Parts: sequence; structure tokens; C-alpha cells
Amino acid sequence: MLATEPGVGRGVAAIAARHLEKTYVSANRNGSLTETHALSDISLEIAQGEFICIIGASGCGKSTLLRIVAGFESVTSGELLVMGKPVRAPGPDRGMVFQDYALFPWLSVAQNIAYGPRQAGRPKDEIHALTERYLDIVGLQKFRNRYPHELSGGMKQRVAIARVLANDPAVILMDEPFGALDAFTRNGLQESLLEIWQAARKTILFITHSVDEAVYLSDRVIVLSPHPGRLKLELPIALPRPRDIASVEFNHYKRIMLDAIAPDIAAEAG
Amino acid sequence: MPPGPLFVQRRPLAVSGLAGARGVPFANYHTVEIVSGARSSPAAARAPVARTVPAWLLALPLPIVGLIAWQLATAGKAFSLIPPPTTVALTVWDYAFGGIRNDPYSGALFANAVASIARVYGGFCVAAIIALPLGLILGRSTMARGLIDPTLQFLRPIPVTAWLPLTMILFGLGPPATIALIALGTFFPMLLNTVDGVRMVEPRLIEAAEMLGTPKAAIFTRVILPAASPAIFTGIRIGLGLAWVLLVVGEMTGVPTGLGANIMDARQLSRTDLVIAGMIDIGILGFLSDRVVMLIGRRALWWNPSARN
Repeated sequence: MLATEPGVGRGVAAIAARHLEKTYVSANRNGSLTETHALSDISLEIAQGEFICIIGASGCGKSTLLRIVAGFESVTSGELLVMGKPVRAPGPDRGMVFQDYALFPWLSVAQNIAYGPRQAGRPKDEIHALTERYLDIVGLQKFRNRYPHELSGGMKQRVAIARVLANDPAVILMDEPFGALDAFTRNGLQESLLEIWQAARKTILFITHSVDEAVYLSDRVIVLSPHPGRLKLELPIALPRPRDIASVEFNHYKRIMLDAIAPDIAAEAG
Repeated sequence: MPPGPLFVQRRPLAVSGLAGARGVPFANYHTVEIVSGARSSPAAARAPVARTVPAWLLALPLPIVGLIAWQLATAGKAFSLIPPPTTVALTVWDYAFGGIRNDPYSGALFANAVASIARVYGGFCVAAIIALPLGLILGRSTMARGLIDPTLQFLRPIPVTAWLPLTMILFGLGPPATIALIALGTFFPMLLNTVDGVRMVEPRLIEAAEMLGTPKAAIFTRVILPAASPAIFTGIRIGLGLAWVLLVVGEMTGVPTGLGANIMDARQLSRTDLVIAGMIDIGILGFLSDRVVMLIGRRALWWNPSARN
């Protein structure tokens, strides 16, 4: 509903980052200060409706980048626009799906999904309709009155996705959302996420440490390199969907990405 | 940071239910979901005896053995300082309903219990009214913690008994001093649990609330308060339990009525049977008061798996 606000055309980039820099300063035990250069000169342009995966060895700043887009952290310098507007704080236009779900344990499944629309002060019947709709979409009607501690990991993550979708954000940020799930559950959720994305045409920025997941899901993969975190490779995945993970073309893309990441992982291990 | 109290229990497992209808995106891959069994206790699964025997029956042998040992050790001895349980049982009855001994304590339980209950809840409420809001502030504000916490940490180890003379000077002889002592003793556990509860709130939950559009001013009531409520509730439960523990000390301030005052009088009169009867009544009242709080807590916090035991 807010995806095309007046004055914001389809042509505006969903996310535009220009020369982002992020440096953490932390105090040591002896009182001296250490600077950590987390992100260096990150420039990105992500179109509306694009599905982007970010991948890289640990320490490449991929989570930091996502948290900056979410508004949880500030940049040291550079410019970041979401739907043409500078990011200053977290907001409902950028929905975040966390790896550890972060559901409100005192709210039922239905109440978790209704939480966002309720904050926006929508009328009761509209909140109800939205809740029903997203309960259906994630297949949790039967569990609507359960509480988070009664759900499996896969179900919790579905609630988390529905909770974000119910807020109709312009951009969905996903921080290794399926990383804690078993392989079968993960495959099911990947499939479902693609269906939802194709139906809703949301912009998705998705962090993963799985090369397979990145090639399977995204329109474009962004590879970051650590110390400091910087852009190493942007790789459009020109494969039709549904993608065959055993195909030659699929493996071709995997090979390119693995070659790009391998030296970083070797350096990390050494 | 260690995980907050909300997330302590990740219980396995009871298979249930279907994921959803066909044609629904998330239903495609797995139709059977594993759901943690909130109502099945893993402890019960490991100990078959505890599962088959009702809890009240399991609780009986220890007190019965204790009573028999007590009876054997004291009955029939002419100059025993401790009366046998049969004598105490008569006194318990007489203290409650009268009709046996016809002394000043016959049938005196009700009036004295009412006086004590009023002091216990009075002291507890005074402490809660100060401790809970203060705990919420200290839990949220580093500045407030820096200002107040060192002083509190210094005052905390001072035993309530040591405060007795000062409170009697400040509040005089009588119920106000009793209430003040009980309040002093129950204040710290409620305060510390509240502070911890607020500080342990998962930062993730606050972030989730922010990205879902919660107004900054509402984060406290909509996220921090509910997330901290199990710890706050634990503090309240410990506080109320302690209030009963402190009753006897509290009624050493020269109040004429109350179960604690009766016990102190009975001691002067060498009425050990009455001392024990008073102890039993305090035990019963404290137990009942805790049950009520537990039931309320289970209803209010039933989303929290660790609230059920």
C-alpha cells in the first residue's frame, strides 16, 4: 500500500547506497581505543522488486550492511536511500526477518502477525483481514492461537515472515533467516519465499552463507570480502525459475562464486 | 549475554498437526510439523515413579516419618522441653477453635492471623510500590543505576534484625514498625529481580518492535514490560514469601497481636506447644498465599513455558 507513495515512482531505486563507510570504535581493557573498519566504500543500487543475496566470508560486514539498511546502526560516512529517502532510524517500510525469529513470546501467532498493522493504528477490521490473509499465505491458520514456544523453528520463521509481510514494507531484509533450520525445512521455506516474492514483488535483501541458497534464490548475488568489508563481485543470475540445482548452469554460477570467496575463507582459516 | 529467562526452555517434542492446506505456499514441503509439547514434562518422562504417583501422595512420606520420629523421641518423657506432636495437635485445634484448654489463646487464631496478614501484605505492598517502579527505572537507565545502585548494594547485606532498633525509634512501638521491617526485607529481592528482568530483555525483541513501527515512547510498555514480566513476577513471589519469613522478627516490635507476637509471648510463658502451633499456622498461611500468587502468575504468564512447573 505504501510501495508507491505520491512522488515516489517505480523508477526510484529501492535501495541506493553511495560510498558507505562504517568504522566501529571500541574500548580495550587498558583504556586504549581500537578501530574496526567494517565496511569500506560500499556503493549499490537495488531496483524495486529485485531479489538480492549478499554472501561473503565471516567478517565481511554483510550483517552490518543489513543492519545499516534496517536503521539499527548508523553509517560513519556515505549516503543511503531507501525508496529515495535517507535512512535515519528503523521503520515499518523496512521489514526485518531475523535468524533467531525474534517473535514476541507473549503474543499468539495471530497476534504477532497483527502487531505491525496495530502499531500503524489501522482500523480493527482491516487488521483482522490482514491477519487472516497472512495466516493463510504462510499456512498457519491451524496454529493461530499457539504461542511461539509451542512452534518448531520452521513455523516460527513463517510467523516472522508473515509478521513482516502484514506491514507491507517496501523492502524485506533477511539476515540468514533459514540458517538455523534443517535442510528439508529450509528447502520448503525457500520455495515458499520465492512464491511470495513473485506474488508480491517485494524487494528482498537476503544474507546467506550458502552458495546454493544464493544461486537458487536471487536475481543478483553480491559477494563481499572481509577486513574491511568491501564489494568483491556482483553476479546476476540469469537462470529461469524454477531453478534446477543439479544443472550445469547452476554449478557454473556456484563455481564463479566459490572462486570469489575461496581466498577469503582460506585467509580466515589461516 | 546469557539468554533471557523467556528462552531458557526449548522442549522436545511431540508430533502434531498438519502444516496447512494444499496450494498454500508454505504447505508444500512438509506436512507434518514437530511442535514442542508444552503440556508434556520431560522430567516426568525420565522418572516413571513420579509420573504414576500423584504429587500429594509423593509428598506425604517425609512428614509422616518426621512426625513418628518426633512422637517417639518426646512421648512419655516427664520433663521433655519439646512437647509430643499429639499435644501440639490439641493446641493447634484449641488455638484455632477453642474449647480444650480455655486459656487466653483458645480460639485466638483468627483475630491474630488477620492482624498478621494485614502486616504481611501491608509491608509487601509498601515494598512493591517502591521496588517495582524503581527497578524498571534502574533497569533502563545507566545513569540511574550509577546514582543509586552503589548505595543499594551497600544497604542490601544489612540483616532485617539489625534494623529492628532503628525502626522502633523511627516508627514507634506497634504495627507501623512491623510493616516497615517487612517492607525493608522484601524490597531488595523485588527490586533486583525487576532490574534484572528489564536488563535481560532480548535486544532483538526491541529491534523487532522498532522495525514493525512501534513508536519509541511505546517500546517500554509494549515490549520491555511484557518481556520482563516473568522475572518481575518471580521477584514478587520471592518478596511475598519473605514477608511471611520476616513476620516474627517484624512482630518483635512490641505489637500485642499477631501470630509472631503470640509466638514470642508463648516463648516467655514456656508454652512450646503454642510456639509450634504458631509456626504451623504461619507455614500454612505462607503456603496458601504462595499458591494464590502462583495461580495468578500461571494465568497471566501462561505464554511463558518456565512459568509452568
